[in-house]
Amino acid sequence: MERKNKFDCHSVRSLGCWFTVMVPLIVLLSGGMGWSKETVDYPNKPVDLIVAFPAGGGGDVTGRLVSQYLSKKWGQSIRVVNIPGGGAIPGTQQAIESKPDGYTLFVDPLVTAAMLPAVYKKLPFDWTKRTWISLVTVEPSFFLVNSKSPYKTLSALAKAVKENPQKFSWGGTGRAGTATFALGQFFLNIGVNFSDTNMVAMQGSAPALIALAGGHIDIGAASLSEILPLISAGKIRPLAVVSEKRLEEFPDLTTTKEAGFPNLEVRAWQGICGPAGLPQYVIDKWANSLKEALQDPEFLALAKKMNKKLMYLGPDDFKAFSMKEYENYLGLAIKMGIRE
Amino acid sequence: MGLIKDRTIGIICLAIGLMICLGTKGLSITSKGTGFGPDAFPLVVGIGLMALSLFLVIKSFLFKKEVGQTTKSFKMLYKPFMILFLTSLYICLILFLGFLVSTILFIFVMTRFFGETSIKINALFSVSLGLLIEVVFVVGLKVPLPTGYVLAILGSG
Amino acid sequence: MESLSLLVNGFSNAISGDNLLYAFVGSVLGTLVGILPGIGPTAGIALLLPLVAYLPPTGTIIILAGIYYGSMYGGSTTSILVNMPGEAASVVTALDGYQLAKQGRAGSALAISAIGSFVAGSIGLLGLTFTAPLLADMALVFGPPEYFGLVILSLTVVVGLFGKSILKGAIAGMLGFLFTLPGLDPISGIPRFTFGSGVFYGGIDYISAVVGLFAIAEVLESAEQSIYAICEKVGRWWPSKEELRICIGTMIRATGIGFLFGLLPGCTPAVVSFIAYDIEKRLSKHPEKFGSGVLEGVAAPETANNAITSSGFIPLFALGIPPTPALAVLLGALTIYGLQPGPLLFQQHSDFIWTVIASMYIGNVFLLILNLPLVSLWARIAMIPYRFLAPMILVLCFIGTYSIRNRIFDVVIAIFFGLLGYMMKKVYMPVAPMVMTMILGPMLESNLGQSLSISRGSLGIFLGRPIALGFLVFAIFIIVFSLYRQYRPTPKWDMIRESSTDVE
Repeated sequence: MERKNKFDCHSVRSLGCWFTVMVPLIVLLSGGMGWSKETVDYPNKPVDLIVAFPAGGGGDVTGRLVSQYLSKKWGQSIRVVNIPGGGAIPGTQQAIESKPDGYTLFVDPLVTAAMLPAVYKKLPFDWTKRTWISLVTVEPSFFLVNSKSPYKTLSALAKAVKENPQKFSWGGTGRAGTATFALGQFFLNIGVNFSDTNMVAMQGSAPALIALAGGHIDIGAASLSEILPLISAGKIRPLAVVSEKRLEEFPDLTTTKEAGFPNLEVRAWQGICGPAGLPQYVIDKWANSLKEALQDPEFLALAKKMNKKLMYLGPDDFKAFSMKEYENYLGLAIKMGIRE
Repeated sequence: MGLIKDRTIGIICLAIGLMICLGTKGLSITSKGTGFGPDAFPLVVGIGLMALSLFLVIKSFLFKKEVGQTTKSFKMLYKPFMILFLTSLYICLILFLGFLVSTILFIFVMTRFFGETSIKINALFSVSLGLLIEVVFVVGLKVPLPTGYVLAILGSG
Repeated sequence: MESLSLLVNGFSNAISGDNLLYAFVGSVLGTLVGILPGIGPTAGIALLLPLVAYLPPTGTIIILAGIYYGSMYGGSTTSILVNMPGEAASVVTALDGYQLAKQGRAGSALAISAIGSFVAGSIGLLGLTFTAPLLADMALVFGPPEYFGLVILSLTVVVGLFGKSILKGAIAGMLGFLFTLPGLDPISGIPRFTFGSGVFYGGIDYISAVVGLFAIAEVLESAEQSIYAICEKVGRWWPSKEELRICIGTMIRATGIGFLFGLLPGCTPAVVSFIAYDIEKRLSKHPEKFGSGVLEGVAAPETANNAITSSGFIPLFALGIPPTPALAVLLGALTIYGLQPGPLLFQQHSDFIWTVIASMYIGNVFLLILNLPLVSLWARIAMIPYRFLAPMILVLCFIGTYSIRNRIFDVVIAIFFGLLGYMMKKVYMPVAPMVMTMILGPMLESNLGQSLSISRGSLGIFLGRPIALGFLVFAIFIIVFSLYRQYRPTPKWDMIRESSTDVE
């Protein structure tokens, strides 16, 4: 086989010919595909909605809910782009550092908005540099035990834990995880020293629930959509739910307020955010459409099927809410001693 | 024995192992009494690596026998390194020019590099394959591949 | 038996018009998805999730399930032909499969892989049908201590992959652990070895590394040798009667292993295919030939990973526990339809479940029909002149690794590992141990940490749990037995010993 690594005169010329023809042609072709016009008809090409979690988990379902609905409404595809791993840090970083042209936004759950900065003193990116658009979903948290456990109420569990905190292992879902904070707040509330408790660090909500259902750990906490199958299979038992009113899915389940723990307020939520410096028309379009969505029966039906509870907050309200959550969790993290 | 003597490999790995062990010093121990903190596993790996590489170095002194293909010079590495270099260039180019253009250019250059002499076949192959891939992945499967800064500038202009 | 009649009912549904089409589409898509590195079944299913807006639940789930088990068929194709594993579970297939391709026996390898996959799929589905309620709870029995025991047992497999040079193999294994270190610590979430940059927080992705170590390194090696094509001539594609006969035993064993381990959420298919491979190696009359092109070395992992896909649906439907990330996305689809997994699913929507199960069987038939006759066509890919094939491989590597997490970082990692794999070949350091320890590393650390948390620091937890203890004892037994076999002075083994001290 002959190897011709050197260009000789003839081939250089013909190469040059080809290049002068092909390259502009190609660039024009691809340039044409990306050509976008005025700001008024935003969006006029696909929008990327980044989710810093694996498909099927975390804020992914919210992302798909929103993208599915808005794609139909706006006639332009909204793509959910999963950038999982690293405690949601790489994905969030990429989203926040992306170009603020309105074509890259991200789903911002409680974890990335408030818990991450509360827990890590130093993040590799500036988490405050973002544009808050709106809150979309909230998820009531549940306190859970294995169905074979002798504790049937939250107060009974609280009493037993207070007596002997070391005896109970509980599933934490990572350093900045809903279950970690929910149960952490619970322990602080009943006067148990957080460092006396026996946290078993699981890789996420699903592994924690599996371990709970299998009896390998004693206490757990999770959100609505995650627990339904295991509850209906009779493997785990909810003790109380963090919610204003009783849920229609569980009419017999006491809320934490009723159970005598009014200060337990950890619940997951998801909103939509963009990088800092988003043009106002982008913010307005999203916020208004989402506001309408939460009145639209089609959207409501879709959300109900996905077991998501909805709550809308506009850009300013969402920002205020988010910052307040951050302060709450900052305080909690310091008290729990998990801030590094 | 390969291109590089076992001794050298052993020393390199020894150094890596040492760096790991040193790297664990900065990790605080928040293991809550189990003794198995974030520094435990890396330490084990670092020490293990150091031990094994030490054995390797010692062994390379004991067994002077050279087996296996006699090594040629480093010149034979030219092609592989060239490929790595070109591929890295390709990635940078993608960020700049977008997937489709860069891919077509890349395939063109690579096919030439691997020995295809006819420019026409080369160009034809690169353009058609590039377009095919673009259609199947970006359009068909809606895989979000990078579109490049140049296009972004062109686009928002 | 009630299950049987329900299944028959399911079949009649699955054969009706649309569902047949969906099964076909799903299988084909799955094969395509499996062929590409990085775009695994997880991404494939996630990409098609929007279908839920347009199709009825049976239709969508049939397609998504088709993608899931179809990808196991496709993954082996590129593993064998160009040493590019389509996904983690196909890594093992590449070990012997690619060697077979180089020898011109790609056809046999592909054929055995298809047949094995079909056997596993069929038997697996029977298992799914009749044992689902019994085995569902199995998924819960394994806790952190049991998984730790399993990881230790898997380390014995790693030892088996050392090859001729034990020291270098061990170092390769250690290096594998090393590469799992960057990222967040699984127990306390503290960033480790991240060089202060956020890009390392997600750690080094396994698929990127594997694509680099296998596909890219192979391209570099082939370039250096200036090969014309991977192989010059492709032989007969149908395996001989003798080969088939040997592989039947392999396939049945691998199905059993794959089916059982597929139930466990914490056990990745990649690890199981390694275990199946190792078991075949130990039971074989010619273990030293594994790694240089042995058909059982292809049959075992391919059969196992298809069996895993069948049994994976048991915990998914019965308990809502997805054993693999791909099934987690499928669970998302079920959720969107409002189909809650659990005993209620079997009671209230038995129609749906049995139609889906029946169509899985039909999908398997489709895949066999698709793959077998096309084997000779696929095999000819290995004959494409390398100057055309290599750029294609590299571009596919790029797309594949980029799509894992939509980050250029992963592509850079693949290139780095490409260089590393190439250098390792040059110094005769085996790559297989490293590939396996890279999967086992995080599992080892997290499960050990969790076990110690549960027991508050006491190692006694392993003594108190029979399954975990069983694994640990078995692992020690295997290591002792292997060492004994290696150093016992007998004529047959003297030869092995001599050749091993040679290369060291």
